[in-house]
Amino acid sequence: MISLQAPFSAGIDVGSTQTKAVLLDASARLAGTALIDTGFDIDAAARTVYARLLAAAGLGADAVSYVAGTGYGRFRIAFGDLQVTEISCHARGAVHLFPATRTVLDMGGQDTKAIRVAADGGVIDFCMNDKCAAGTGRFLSAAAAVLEMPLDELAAVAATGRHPVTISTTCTVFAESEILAWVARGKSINDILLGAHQAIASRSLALLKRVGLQPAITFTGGVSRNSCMVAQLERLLGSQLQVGEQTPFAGALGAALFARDRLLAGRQELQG
Amino acid sequence: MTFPAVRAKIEASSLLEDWSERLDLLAQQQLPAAYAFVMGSCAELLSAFEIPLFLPEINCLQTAVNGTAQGLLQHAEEQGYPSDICNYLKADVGMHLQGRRLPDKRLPAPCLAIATTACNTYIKWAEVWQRLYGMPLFVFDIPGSRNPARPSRPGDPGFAADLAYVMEQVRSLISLCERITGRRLETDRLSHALHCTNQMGDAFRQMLAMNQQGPVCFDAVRQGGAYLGVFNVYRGSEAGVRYFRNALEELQQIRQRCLEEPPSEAPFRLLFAGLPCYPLYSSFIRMFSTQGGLFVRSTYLQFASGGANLEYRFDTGRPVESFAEGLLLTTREAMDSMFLAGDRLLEAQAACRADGVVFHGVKSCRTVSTGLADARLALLSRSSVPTLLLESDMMDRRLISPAQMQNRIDAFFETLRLRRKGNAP
Repeated sequence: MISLQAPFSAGIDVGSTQTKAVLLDASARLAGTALIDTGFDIDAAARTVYARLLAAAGLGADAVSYVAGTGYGRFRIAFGDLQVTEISCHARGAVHLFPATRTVLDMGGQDTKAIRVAADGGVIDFCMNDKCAAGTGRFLSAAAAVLEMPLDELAAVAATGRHPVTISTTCTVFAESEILAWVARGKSINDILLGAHQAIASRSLALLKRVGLQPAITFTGGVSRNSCMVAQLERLLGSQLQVGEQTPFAGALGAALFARDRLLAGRQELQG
Repeated sequence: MTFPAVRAKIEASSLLEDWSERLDLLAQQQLPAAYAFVMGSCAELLSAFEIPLFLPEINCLQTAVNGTAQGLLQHAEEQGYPSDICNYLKADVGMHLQGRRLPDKRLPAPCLAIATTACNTYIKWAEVWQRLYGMPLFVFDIPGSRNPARPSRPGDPGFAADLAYVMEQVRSLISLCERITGRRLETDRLSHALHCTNQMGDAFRQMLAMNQQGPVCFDAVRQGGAYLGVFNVYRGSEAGVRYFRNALEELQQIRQRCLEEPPSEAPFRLLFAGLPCYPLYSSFIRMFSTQGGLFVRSTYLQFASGGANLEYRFDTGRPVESFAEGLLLTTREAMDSMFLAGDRLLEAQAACRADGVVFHGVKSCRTVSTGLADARLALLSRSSVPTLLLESDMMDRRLISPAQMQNRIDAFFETLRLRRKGNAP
């Protein structure tokens, strides 16, 4: 077992749906992760996830020298030392997890981003869904809500679809109506959900093309846990995605890496 | 920031206010004006006939900046105009449907409308006026570039054929103006107006060149907007010449100050591509300036300046022919700027040593936004310069999300800072 070394740095990603936290040790080794639902109280979510992160690692707050916040709620992390956008953080986190990464697809609750990255994790270019939530995790949540199905079961049910319906709307709210219309016409829930996954995958592909898609592609964000979405994207891309257990945490990981950069820069300054 | 450029901004506001007051006075006296679009406005020709000029696009953008556009858009939509068409057009229609009245001014009715084929919407828009008022509509069919890599120039056989085609149309417009006013064209007046435009253009080009290589003397979106407004409204006039003479002098002073006292930290030199976000005009520019970004150049100063950026100077000794030639070159330039922007952006980025390129697509203008997507991909394929793509609108607040816009801008500056410093943001 590797023994972790202080000083530690932490990254907290306050997303619209979930709040994630990552702890790194002095050598950028993963010291712990935590994840909770964000809810309506952003400050409380940030404090809670941080407390859970420290508890899981068996550390006190004084062991962490630098905390960076990212995600839409990053400015509400009162104990944070630095705020970085989720675009920079997902790029950095993805390249850290998979060094061959040159394109990142981050699919979260309210945003989907395509990011072209350099070998050092720096952002070359990015595109995001604009304003509306079509093509994001929210789209899937809406489908699950309409079909009265737990979000966790969505991928497994969709994967059994054989004749996917076409969800053509560009609006999440209208998509709910379109899904209901397919239900009324007797289509199976499996086929409707597969159609919803395909609609999102297709929109994501368009975003990826807008940044000049280059392999290897890493899929990050909460929706990267969805196996059906991974399969649909891979089908459209004609190649495999880099995805893994830590990819939902890529934003928080990137934030922790930026925190670590600051920490090291500070130490270098102190050392003259 | 190092460049207040205050005098030119105040003078521009004052001149545009005078223009509004003159239009209001015409409306009170129930006198008409010619309605024309910025590209190919024929300002010099109209001034030779003493026909007052109204530029609806500029009026519309003013309503966006002063916050009155939303009501006009709503009014037009209530009459059945759809939500996804050009919002300049829709605000203008809203204004006409409510009796050409705005909170602070009235506008004259049209006696003539001039459009060009630079934009299909212009033609449909002008047809709305024709339907409402029954006045003559004149549409210039301007030939575009057939070879984007090498557009024809004066002296080329292809250009001669294009010029003959445009010349015939200019003659027709002159005949129409003669019928409307009941007087013959005075070529001396036209020559004088063209001479004024030449002088304005000379100053404007020097101003643009000043920003290109040296310190940033003016923000091409903020101050550039003021310069554009005056250039289009006061084109071919003594007042326009005075304005640009003063503006150039002010910039020369600013440049001198910048050279003597350079800023402690060099700004990020940005190239802007697209139309400004008028409903959030000041805050949009501030989102960049507060992070140390300054727009050193803007494609808007090319395609919306009526060709003022070109080296072309009217030959006042043969005013009608030269006017036709200028109309062909400048309108074609505007079309090329929108449709063939890929190569141009690469050249512009290198010429002005831009650290990043900001693309602002406006949802209600397909003409600008379509070309923008292609230009961005062309630039990306040939350059590693960071780019930022923003999508909002030039008129409709409902299509703009300031918080999301700010987030994207923050990410863009993180990239710029990382590149400059080679470490964390």
